[in-house]
Amino acid sequence: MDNEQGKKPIGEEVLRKIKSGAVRMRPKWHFALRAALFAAGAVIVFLALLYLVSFTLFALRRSGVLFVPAFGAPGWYAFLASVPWVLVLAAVIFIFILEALVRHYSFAHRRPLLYSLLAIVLLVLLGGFFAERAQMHGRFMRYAEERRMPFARGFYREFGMPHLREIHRGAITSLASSGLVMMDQEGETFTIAITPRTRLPFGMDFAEGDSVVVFGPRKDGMIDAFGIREITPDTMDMPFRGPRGMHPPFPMPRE
Amino acid sequence: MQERTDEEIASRVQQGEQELFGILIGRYEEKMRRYARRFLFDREDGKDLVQEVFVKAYVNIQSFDATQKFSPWIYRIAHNEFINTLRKRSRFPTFPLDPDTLFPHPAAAEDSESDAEKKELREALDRSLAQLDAKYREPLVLYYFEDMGYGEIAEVLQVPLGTVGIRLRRGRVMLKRIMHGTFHG
Repeated sequence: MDNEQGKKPIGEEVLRKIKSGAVRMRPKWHFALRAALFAAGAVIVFLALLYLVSFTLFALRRSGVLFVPAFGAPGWYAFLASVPWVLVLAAVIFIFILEALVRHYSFAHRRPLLYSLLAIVLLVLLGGFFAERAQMHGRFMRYAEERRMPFARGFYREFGMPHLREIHRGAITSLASSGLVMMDQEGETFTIAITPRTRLPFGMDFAEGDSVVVFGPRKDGMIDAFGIREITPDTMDMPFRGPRGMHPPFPMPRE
Repeated sequence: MQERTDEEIASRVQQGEQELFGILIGRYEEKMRRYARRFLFDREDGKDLVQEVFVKAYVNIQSFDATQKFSPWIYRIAHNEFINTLRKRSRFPTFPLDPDTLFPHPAAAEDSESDAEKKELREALDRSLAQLDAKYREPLVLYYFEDMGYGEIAEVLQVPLGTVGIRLRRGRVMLKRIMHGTFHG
């Protein structure tokens, strides 16, 4: 050992520093704590992502925006114009933060970045989809509407209840010869005019109580429908709370 | 003690036998100096940096997993130290996203060069290191001078195996262009 060290001034210098206490070994718990904090950070970012993605899906579904691409190119245009891009941008930033965090693990850096990025996106979309279907945001939204939510009320009211000019979601209260009467989620009633140019991608077998999304401009209680489609009702659709918390006077949706 | 493996010695250092760290320094000092010399082209700076590499290795030795190989671990510390030096000198461009690590590359097969070819490339590399981008220079130095395989280089650089293959291939092409006097990059 002496021979090996004796020839090496660097070795002597480093050992001198170690023996004098100028250089100290970090304890094992330091690395364990760092690894735990790192993992906790990654989990927190992942959960934040799930929240953001599920909330974005919830907001799109609740406003009806999610369903308008079925009406063709104008529907896609309205969809792209109505997506809450601020939330999407926040989700993209969080995805890159998560990617940077997982890149420190060998299972990620041994593979091309594209693979880990795609795996994160897939997990987040799947997780976000299931989290959205768990109705958590529906409950929070109701609390926000009823002002029972101590935090994030503004967030839910701003993104969860967007006022869109051309996309309307509600339930059919009655059928008329030239159209339908619909009540939206805020308890407002509209007459929907069906014309030959109205797109009905899933047919027009409508009945009272059906949940629908109507695409078209609204004027004086009338909607000139460019498209109408029936959608699967969510628990948040019914019972609607009217402006004063009253339930709307129409039948519950069909099973 | 000489016949003990690096991993066994590192494990005993972790348990408190700090004087054994000198053996590891003895085994790696020349390799680290050579690595620094070829990567940084600065002997004096290199000596200080190599000392800093060993200090950092000792400080962080409890993070070493003694079931893994010691060599890539200490080379990784050296890599980080040298890259930080290059960044401080502002010669090393820092790309947040390197396309080489972004996309999958075909599985990299270790090249079956003859000894003569290897020798020729090694000599050319020694003469032309300064003309090569650090991104390509480092894997070439690790492969031709430190005798590392693709897997070990991938561990040191923390990049996919395919990325090591592609960087070595491009580095060799650049090197051959330099050798034939046609490289203008």
